[in-house]
Amino acid sequence: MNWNHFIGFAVVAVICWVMGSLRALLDTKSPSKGASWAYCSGIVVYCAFIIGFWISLKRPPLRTMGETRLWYSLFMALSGMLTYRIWKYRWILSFSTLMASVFICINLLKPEIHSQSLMPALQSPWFIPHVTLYMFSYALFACTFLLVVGSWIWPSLEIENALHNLCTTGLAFFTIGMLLGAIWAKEAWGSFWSWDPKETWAAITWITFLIYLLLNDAAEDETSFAKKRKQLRLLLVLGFLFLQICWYGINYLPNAAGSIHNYA
Amino acid sequence: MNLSIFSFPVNLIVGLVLLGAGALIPLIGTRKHLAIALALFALMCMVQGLVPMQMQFNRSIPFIVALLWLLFVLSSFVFHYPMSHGKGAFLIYAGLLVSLLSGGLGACDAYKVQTMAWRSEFSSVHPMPFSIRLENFRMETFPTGEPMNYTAVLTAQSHNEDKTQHKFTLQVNHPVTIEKHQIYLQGYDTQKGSDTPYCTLLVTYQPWRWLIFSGILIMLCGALVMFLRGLISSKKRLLP
Repeated sequence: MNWNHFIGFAVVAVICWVMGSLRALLDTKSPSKGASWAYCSGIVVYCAFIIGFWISLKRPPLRTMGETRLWYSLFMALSGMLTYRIWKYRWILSFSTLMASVFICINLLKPEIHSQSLMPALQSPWFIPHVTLYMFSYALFACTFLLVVGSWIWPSLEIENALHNLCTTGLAFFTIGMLLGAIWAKEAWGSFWSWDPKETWAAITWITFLIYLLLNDAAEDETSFAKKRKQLRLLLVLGFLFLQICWYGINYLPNAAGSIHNYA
Repeated sequence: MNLSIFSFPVNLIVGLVLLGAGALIPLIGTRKHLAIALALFALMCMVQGLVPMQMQFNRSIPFIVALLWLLFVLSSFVFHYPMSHGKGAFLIYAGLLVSLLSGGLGACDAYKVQTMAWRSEFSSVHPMPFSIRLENFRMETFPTGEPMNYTAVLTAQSHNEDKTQHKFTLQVNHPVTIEKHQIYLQGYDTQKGSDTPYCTLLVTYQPWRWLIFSGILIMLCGALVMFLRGLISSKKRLLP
């Protein structure tokens, strides 16, 4: 099995995921059995490709950039499914399908990337969890931002619980991603934290969301908490902006050239 | 700022004083004070994130003052934390306290030097307690010619009277500990590949690293608890 077979498996998997996501949105029951079955079938099909590819390569498909993206999509779908089963959020499957499909599309549209090698520093078991957890937390934080923007357009929109849950889960994933990165940095670069621009902006983002949760919980004790909470939502917007700087914005900052996170 | 004035045992005393002050002064450990201290520290991080890294803003007085203030407020917050506010968050703050305290104060005892190991002779850089010589260097490349993996076989010779020798193998992402120092393989002469006459090494000495690591582990547990508790509370707090 090789990359040429990928498109077939990917198309079937994405169709299953889209069907599962639609079913989850439309079904009166949540979690819906039909949605879960459709979604899991997609994961099985996608897994089948990875296993076949692994066997034919005679090594785990984790070396090239394209191969690692293959795993991103799998994890994205898996975490979406788990979150849906436990949290029962109807929208989460559409969201994880979108994220997984983006990575599949990059793999399909940029085939030359499959031959690109992975430099020795990136060849580490920490690479996948570090990056995938970050990607998932980025997605959850983006969702809080969209909800806040929605609440500006429709002021009566009830988003408090969703913001709290998304922010808590996003922060948990972000924290784990960051700490696994720190442990990896100790193995690869000699220190847990080196105030590299990427690390610094990750710290700023992390602190911003941490302050949001800290003050949001504090506001719960006060009588005027509804008004206060609305003001606090600005912190989520700010956090989302810092996240964009951390993710790709640092490439435009003057000190980015010295970043050890620069793998372009 | 020269951090050596804070080296052991001064840093240990500063750390204990901060913890003691935090434990004795509950007034400062409120969520609002912590939010302000975190925001102040984030502001310092922003400056660090905008200025060139060579300026070492993270070793400047404003940065260190903001860090020490954060540590003081954080320790008071952790010592007087009402557990009803969530154990996950508590572990994150406690872990943050341990890792920031040991990372910040431990930095005064730590050092990091870059050195080269040559095939011909032992070499060393101050204050390493040993010298290193390159014995063998192997590399594998991708079909594109880019390096896939490289391995260096080295010998370290101690500076003590016995001149004890340690032979070891290094790979990227696989450091080796010799005489309480960690040695990392960084690079080689890319023009010559396997025939490189030298390899570049990073040698670090970080006696507080286990404390930092335990802080990281506590935070990891906190994040896991936070995630799992989120799962439980989400059953009560369903989305509209």
